[in-house]
Amino acid sequence: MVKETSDSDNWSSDLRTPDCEGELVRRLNALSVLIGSTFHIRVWFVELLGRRRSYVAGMVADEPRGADVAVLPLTSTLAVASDGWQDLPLPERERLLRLLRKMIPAEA
Amino acid sequence: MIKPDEVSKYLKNGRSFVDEEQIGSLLQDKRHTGRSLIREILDKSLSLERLEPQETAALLQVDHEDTWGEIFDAAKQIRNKVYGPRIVTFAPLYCSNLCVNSCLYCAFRKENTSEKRRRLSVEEVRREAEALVSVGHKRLILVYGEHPASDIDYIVRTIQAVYDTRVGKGEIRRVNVNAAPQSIEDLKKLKDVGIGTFQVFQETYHQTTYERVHPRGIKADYLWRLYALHRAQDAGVDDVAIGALFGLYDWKFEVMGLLKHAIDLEERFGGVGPHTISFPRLEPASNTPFCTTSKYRLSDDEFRRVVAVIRVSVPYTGMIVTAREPREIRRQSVELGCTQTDASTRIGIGAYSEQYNEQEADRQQFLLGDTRSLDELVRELAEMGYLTSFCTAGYRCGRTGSHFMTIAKKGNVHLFCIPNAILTLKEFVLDYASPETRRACEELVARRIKHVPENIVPALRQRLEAIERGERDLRF
Repeated sequence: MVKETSDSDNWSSDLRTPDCEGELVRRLNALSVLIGSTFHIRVWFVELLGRRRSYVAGMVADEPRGADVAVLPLTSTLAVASDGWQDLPLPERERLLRLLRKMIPAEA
Repeated sequence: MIKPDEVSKYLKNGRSFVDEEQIGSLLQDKRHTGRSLIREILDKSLSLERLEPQETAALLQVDHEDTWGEIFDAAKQIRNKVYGPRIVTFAPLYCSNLCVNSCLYCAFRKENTSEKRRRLSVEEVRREAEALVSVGHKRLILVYGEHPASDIDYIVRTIQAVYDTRVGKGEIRRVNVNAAPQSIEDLKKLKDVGIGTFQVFQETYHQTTYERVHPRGIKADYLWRLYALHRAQDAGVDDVAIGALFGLYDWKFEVMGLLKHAIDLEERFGGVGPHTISFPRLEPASNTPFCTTSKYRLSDDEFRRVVAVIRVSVPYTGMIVTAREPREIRRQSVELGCTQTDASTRIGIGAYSEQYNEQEADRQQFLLGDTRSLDELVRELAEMGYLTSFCTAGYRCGRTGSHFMTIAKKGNVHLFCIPNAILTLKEFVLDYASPETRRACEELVARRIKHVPENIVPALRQRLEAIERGERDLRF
């Protein structure tokens, strides 16, 4: 996890540049892959739009696992969803969320 | 207001994706395609690949009854393979019949002085939603005429009012929208309020016919409408729905137009085609003689062919049959490929909360073919072996756009939809169903649980027990 932490400041500043939507998607996809290989859970990122959670990037849950899909806010408009949170010990989950919140700018 | 640059940017060499000459040639060239080639096309479809226009043209030109029987069989197989025995249900909520357009086939056209005009207030829309929640609906499509009084701000306010509506344990969990084409700027407002699907029907893909039946008004602009859903995608609305009104022009041409539309959306937006396709038929409408005199009106046999060919051509796209159609045609359409239908439908303005007569022509856009209640429809579908689904899980956990399309193209929709259908049907049974419907649904659920993947049956049973205890809105 050290490497991701050290990358986060750069990512965060890059994502604040204008016209960063494509870049944001690319980086969220990369994050999703990284989280998948590190924590063995599949996560995807969604935009919060009223009741709708609109897919932005990340792994595709193409078949159900039986677990709840929980959507956890990262900013006021972006959240991370997974059907594998239960597989992650609570401290790990909280550490991952803290990291993601640090990496992703509030206005993303 | 039409923004020409929000049309021209989608044209290729100044031309739209509807190449009438090419469609005509394909339909001409593919007459008398051999049966073995038709079978190859059906095999491709059964492997859940979308067909190419020349393949769909070959199916449309089949002239042997036996071969049509094979197409119908393939459509049924695909329907069951991709979607399983479930059908999503919803209700339309007409908010306004004020309209600036002059569509020859529509009772809402501005020249029709016999129509009683009305735009519901936000409070009236809320009362309509309450009436629909009270019978068990969870999904609505809000319908608006094209008029300054029902502009984007009105649309947004009414959607919010519906989402805020609660009656007991009931609520509307997904609001889809059928409205006039919008600019990208206005579509972003629709996106932000959290709509489900944005639906715009082209009516007819044949431009000359389009211009003839839309002689005046903003709707007379064929290309503004044709690219309405491209603009929606560009605005970030990634669930879009296409449709054609069958009966305005040759039905084979319209099927080709729908396919070309789906392909163009897929090609431009990362493989994300339409979420659903609709194919309503012209129905009689108040003071609207065009509806009964059009030479292109579709017979029931032709309608069944439309359903089957669309199912086979786009195996992973939802299909909607509505209460325009009479009961028997709806039953057949569900078996042939339709995945969504409406119930307890009223299309008069204010009709749900004011409970006026089932049909009042001078308050409706057209006359319905089936006005049965939601309870009756759920029971009939259960007796046919279909789970009625009120599921809205996908769009509330981010299975939208390319995420959903990936699932759909793998043929895995049923893996999510069957368990979610069972959960939402359980809610309906406990909260709204008559004893007869409850019995029919419980028998069906007991049978259908066997079709749920083994690894999620324990979790499904836990959730069903939780619903029995009073929890709601559980999902996979």
